[in-house]
Amino acid sequence: MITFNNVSKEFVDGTKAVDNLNFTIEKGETFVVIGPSGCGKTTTMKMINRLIDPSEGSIHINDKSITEGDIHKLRWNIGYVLQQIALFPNMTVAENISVVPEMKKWSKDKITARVDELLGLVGLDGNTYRDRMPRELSGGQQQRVGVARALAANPDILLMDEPFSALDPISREQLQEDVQHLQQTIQKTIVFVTHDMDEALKLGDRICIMKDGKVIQVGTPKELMTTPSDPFVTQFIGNRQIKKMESPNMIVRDVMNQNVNLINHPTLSTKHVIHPNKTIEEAYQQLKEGSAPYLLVKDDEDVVGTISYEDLARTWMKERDA
Amino acid sequence: MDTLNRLYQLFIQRQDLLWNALWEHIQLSLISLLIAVFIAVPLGVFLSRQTRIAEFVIGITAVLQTIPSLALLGFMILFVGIGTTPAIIALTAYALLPILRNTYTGISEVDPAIREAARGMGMNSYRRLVKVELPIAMPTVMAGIRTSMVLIVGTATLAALIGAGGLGDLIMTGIQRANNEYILLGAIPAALLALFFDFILRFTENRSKGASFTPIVTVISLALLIVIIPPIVASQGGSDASTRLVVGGKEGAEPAIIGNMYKLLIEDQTDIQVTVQSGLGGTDFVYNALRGGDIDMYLEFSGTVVGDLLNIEDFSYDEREAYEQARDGIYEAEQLIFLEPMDYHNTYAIAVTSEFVEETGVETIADLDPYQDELSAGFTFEFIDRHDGYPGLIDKYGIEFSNVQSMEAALRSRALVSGDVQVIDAYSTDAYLVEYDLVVLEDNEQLFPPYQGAPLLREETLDEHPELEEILNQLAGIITEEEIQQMNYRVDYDDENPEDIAREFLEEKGLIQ
Repeated sequence: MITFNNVSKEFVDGTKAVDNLNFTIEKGETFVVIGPSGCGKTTTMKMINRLIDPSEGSIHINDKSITEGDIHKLRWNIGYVLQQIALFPNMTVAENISVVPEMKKWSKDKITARVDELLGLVGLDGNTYRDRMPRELSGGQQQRVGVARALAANPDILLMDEPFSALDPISREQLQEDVQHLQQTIQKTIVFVTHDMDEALKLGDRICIMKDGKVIQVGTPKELMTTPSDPFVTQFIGNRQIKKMESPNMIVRDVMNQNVNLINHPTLSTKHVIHPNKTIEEAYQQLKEGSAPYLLVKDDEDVVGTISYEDLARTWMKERDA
Repeated sequence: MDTLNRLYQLFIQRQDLLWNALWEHIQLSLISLLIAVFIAVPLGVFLSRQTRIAEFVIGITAVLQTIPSLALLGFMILFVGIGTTPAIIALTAYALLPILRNTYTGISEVDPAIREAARGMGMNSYRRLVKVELPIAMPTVMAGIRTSMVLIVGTATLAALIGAGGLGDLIMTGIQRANNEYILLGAIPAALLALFFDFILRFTENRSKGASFTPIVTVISLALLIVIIPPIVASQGGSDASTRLVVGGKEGAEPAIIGNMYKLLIEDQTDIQVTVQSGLGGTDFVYNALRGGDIDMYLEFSGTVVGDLLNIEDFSYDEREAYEQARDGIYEAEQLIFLEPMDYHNTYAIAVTSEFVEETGVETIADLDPYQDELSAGFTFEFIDRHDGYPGLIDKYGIEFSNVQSMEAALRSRALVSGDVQVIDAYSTDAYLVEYDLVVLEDNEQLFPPYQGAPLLREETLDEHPELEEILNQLAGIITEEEIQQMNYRVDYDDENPEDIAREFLEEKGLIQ
C-alpha cells in the first residue's frame, strides 16, 4: 500500500510539477496514472522510488515513510521499468536481470534459477536469450527483459513509466496482454504511467487522471465513464468503450446467457463445453466446429451459463451500433 | 635502391645501437603512457561528477598540449634536469589531454536513461561507475589511450635532445650528419612501433567483445611488466659506490669527441668514473643542465660564454682577453669555472659554395654587399639572435639579405648544397665544410669574437676533485683546427666512434697510456 500525503514538488526553477497529491494505491492493484504531457505523472511515479524527492508532504509504503532507511534498499524492493527500456548495453540479458539480486547478495545458483524462471515468465526462452546482448534483441524482446529485470528480486511494487510507448503497435498490444496475464500470476502493486487512454482502460484496476500537477479524478474505469467528476475527464476519455468490454477481447462470461434452466441438459462432450474466460471469437469457432446450437459454459465443475449464436449476434450488433 | 641498400648495411652494422634505442624508446613511451592513464582516467571520472570545473581542467591540459615539445623539454631542464625524468614528464603532459577528454566525454555521454535505470535499481554511485558508466565509456577511453600512445611514440623521438635516449638518438645523429640512413634507422622503427602499439590496443579491445575492463587491464599489466622488470633485473647487478662525474655536450661530433677526451683523461689519472652525456640539444639545454647539477662539466667556447651566456656586447677581439673576460664573467655570475682553452677556434663563419665563389669572386664577407638583395640565407636560431650574429652582420657590414630562413644547425649545409639558400652561418671546425667543399668568407671587419673551447665546470665539482684542473688543463693549447676538423669528419662521415677517436688522439700525444 502506497500513500501520498499532501505531496507537492517544486523544481528549483520554480515550476510546480505536482501540487498537493493525496491518494492511496492498494496492495496488488494496477494503478494507472494518466494525463497529458507535463501533467506531473512521471514526477509522481519517480517520487515513489525517490528518483525525485518531494518538496512537501510525505509518501508511505505500508505505513513506513520512504525517507526512513537506506535509499538503495528501498529501490531494490521497487521494480522499475523505463520508457527507454535502458537495458545495460555492456551486460548480457542474464547479467541485466541479475543486477538487483547480486546487490542483494543472492547465491549464484539462486540467481541463475531466477533468471531462467523470469525469462520464461516474460515469454523468452532461457537457452536462447540468456547470453545475448541487448542490442541483439528486438524492441519488444528488450522490454520483456526490462520487465524481467524489474521483477528479478521479487519486489512488491513495480513502477512502469510508459513502458510500451516506444514499441511498435503489434509488440505493444502483445506486451499489454502479457502484462495483464503476468499480473494475474504475480499479483504485484503496479504503478503504471501512460498517456494512452486505451492502455489505461485496458490495464488499470484504478485510473488516476492528472492535469497541471493536480489529480482530477481517481476511480475504476467504469466509475470514470459513468460518473466523471469533471468535463476534462469526459473529454479525456472521449467516446470510448471500456476496452475490457470490447470484442475481440470480450470473453464468454460477458455475453453468456445466465438465465437458463441448467438441469435438463443432455451430457455434452468437451467439444460443447467452454470456459467463461475464453474470448467470444473462440466461442464462435467452437460453435462452428461442434455443430451444436449452444455451448455449456463451465467454470471448473460449475455450469454458469450457456452461449449460442444468438448471444454472439446480439453482442456484435450492439457493438456495430455503438 | 641505393638508400635501401645502405640502410640495410647500417642496420647490420648498428643493430646493437638500434635494439638499445628501441628498448629505451619503448620504456620511455610506456612509462609516460602509464602515468598519463593513471592520472587522466581517474581525473576524467572525477570531472564527469564535477561538470562545472570540467571544461576548465580540460582547458589546462589542452594548453599543455599546445606548448611546443622542444620548448617544454628545454624548460623542464631547469627544474628536473636532464635524462629520462623530464622526458617522461613532458611526454605525460602531452598524453593527458586525449585520455582525459575521452574519459570525460565517454562517461558524460552515457545515455541518461541508462543512468536513471541504474539509479532506480538501487546502485550506489561507485557501483554505477564501475558496473555501468565506465564499461560503457570504455571504447571511448581506449580510443583516447590509442591517440595518446601514437602521440607519445612520435614525440619521444625528441627526448634524445635532453639525454633520454630512444630512437631519437639515431634520428638526431642522422640530422647532425646529414645522413638519411641514420634518420631512417630511427624513424622507421618509431613509426612501426606506433603502429604495433596501436595494433595491440585494438586487438585486446576487439578480443574482449563489448565494453569491459579487460583491454585496459591487459594493456596496463603488460606495460607494467615491461617497465618494472628491467630495473629489477638491473638492480640485482649491484651498484658501484665510486664517484661518478657526468660530462655533458651539445649536439654534434665535436662535443662528443672532446667530452670523451675529458672522460679518458680523468679515468686514466683518477678513480672517478665518468659518463659522457653528449647530444643535449643547443647551448641553453646543456647550460641549464650544468647549472641544475645534472652534468658536472661540458665543452664551452669563450665567444659563446661572453656573447651568449653573459650577454656582453663590447667583447674583446683579442683571444686571450676574450677568454679572461669569459672566465671572470662566468665565475662572477654563476660560480662556474672556465678552465684553460685549447688551441683551435671554433668560431662562427659565413660559408658559401665554391661554385658561388667561382661565379662572383667574393673573398670576404664585405664582398657580399652587392649581392645582398639576391641572396637567401639559412641561419641558426642562435645566430639570428646573437649580437655577434646576424644583427652584427647588419651593423658592421651593412648587409641585410633579402630572405633569412631560420633552421636547425644540422640542416644548414643541406639547404646550402641543395640551393635553397646561398649563404649560411657555420662553425669553422664543422666537417661538412670539407665534405661539401664550402668556402668560409674572411671576417675582414672582425665581427666574430674568438671562440676557444675549454671545459666549463661547476665550482662544487672542482672543490671536491681539485686534481681535475690539472688533468683537464693538459688539453690547454693543443688540438689544432685541422686536427679537430679531421676528427669531426671521421665521426660524421666515416661513422667512427667518438670515444675511439678521442683515445687514439690522446695516445698519440702521449697523454694517456
